[in-house]
Amino acid sequence: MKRTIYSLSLAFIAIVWLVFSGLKEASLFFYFPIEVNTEIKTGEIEPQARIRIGGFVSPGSIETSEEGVLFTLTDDENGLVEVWYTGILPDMFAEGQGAVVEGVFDNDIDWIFFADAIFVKHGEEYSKEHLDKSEMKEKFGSGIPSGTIE
Amino acid sequence: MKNQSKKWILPAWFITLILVDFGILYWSPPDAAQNMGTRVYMMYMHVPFAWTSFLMTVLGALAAGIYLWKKENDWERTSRAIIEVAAVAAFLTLMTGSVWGKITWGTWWVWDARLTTMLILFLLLCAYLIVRDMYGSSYEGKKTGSIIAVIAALNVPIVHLSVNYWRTLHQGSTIFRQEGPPKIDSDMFVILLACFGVVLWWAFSCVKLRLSGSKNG
Repeated sequence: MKRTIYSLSLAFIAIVWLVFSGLKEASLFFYFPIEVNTEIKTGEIEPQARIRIGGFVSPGSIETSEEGVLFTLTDDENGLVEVWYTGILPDMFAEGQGAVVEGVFDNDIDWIFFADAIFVKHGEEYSKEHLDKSEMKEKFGSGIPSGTIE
Repeated sequence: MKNQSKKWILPAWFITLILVDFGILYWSPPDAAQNMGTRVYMMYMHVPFAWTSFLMTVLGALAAGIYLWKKENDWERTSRAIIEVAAVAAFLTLMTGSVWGKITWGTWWVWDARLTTMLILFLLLCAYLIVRDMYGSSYEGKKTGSIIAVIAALNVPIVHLSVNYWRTLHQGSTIFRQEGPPKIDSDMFVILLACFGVVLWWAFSCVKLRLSGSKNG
């Protein structure tokens, strides 16, 4: 019986440790562009570190060429990160839509973020009709879906 | 099954399932709030399985807790039957979520807080099943399993609140929000509830079927 209790408590401590050490990374699944803007300069994020940045695709910023796509990620505090990506874009990728990009900065090319993965981030609002801002606000309490920006 | 009257349950459930499927296909509107379109249909599978896995884990743990307290084998049998369904529902939550993630986010899996905590819930339920199988019908096995069931239930609120407390790729809660009305059309909500009903019916039928079977183990 004692052995069971010992092994159980050991397993429990191991699980708790795994969860919290794992979640420390998972808890910051991505940085906001404003954090990247400030923390890269202060050295809190290593310049060559592989990171994820999450924000909104700035409206009007997508430039598609044969080699790839260049766009700007922004956030509520006007952080800005320019992103270059050559892979296949998710279907829901669009201007104003939330997106999380994964990759590294190349500070030789004017701090362009070279992404090798892009995930669309969407909100939790669902409606059959397209709602304008006031309708949306009345219905869901916020003027635009949480995964988008104007 | 000894009871003849139970024979209608499976066909009735199947007919309901088909009706709800047609409801989704013909009655349920595509999403226009954020251009998700028909991709939103995945919600009608993913969310009911998620809620069912949460509910079954909590119910199973309650029964396990009563067993630990009163040491009555019937409670242990009940909790095992419930946790088995919880494990299947958790697995299906991860699978349907993975498909939904692929068609909306563009990835099958990411290690964000919601997905990670949900995986931990599934693994705890698996640990329960393994322990219950390994120790057979000994008291040690039943006790250890019951403790794991309780730990799994403690994880349920963590999974639910993970999207509020950590920065995740997964969107926030639509229905069980901390404040404010559900962020969903009533048409869609009704279909979601119907789907939840179908999945719950399946879950409780499985539990009932398991409990009406042999008393061994």
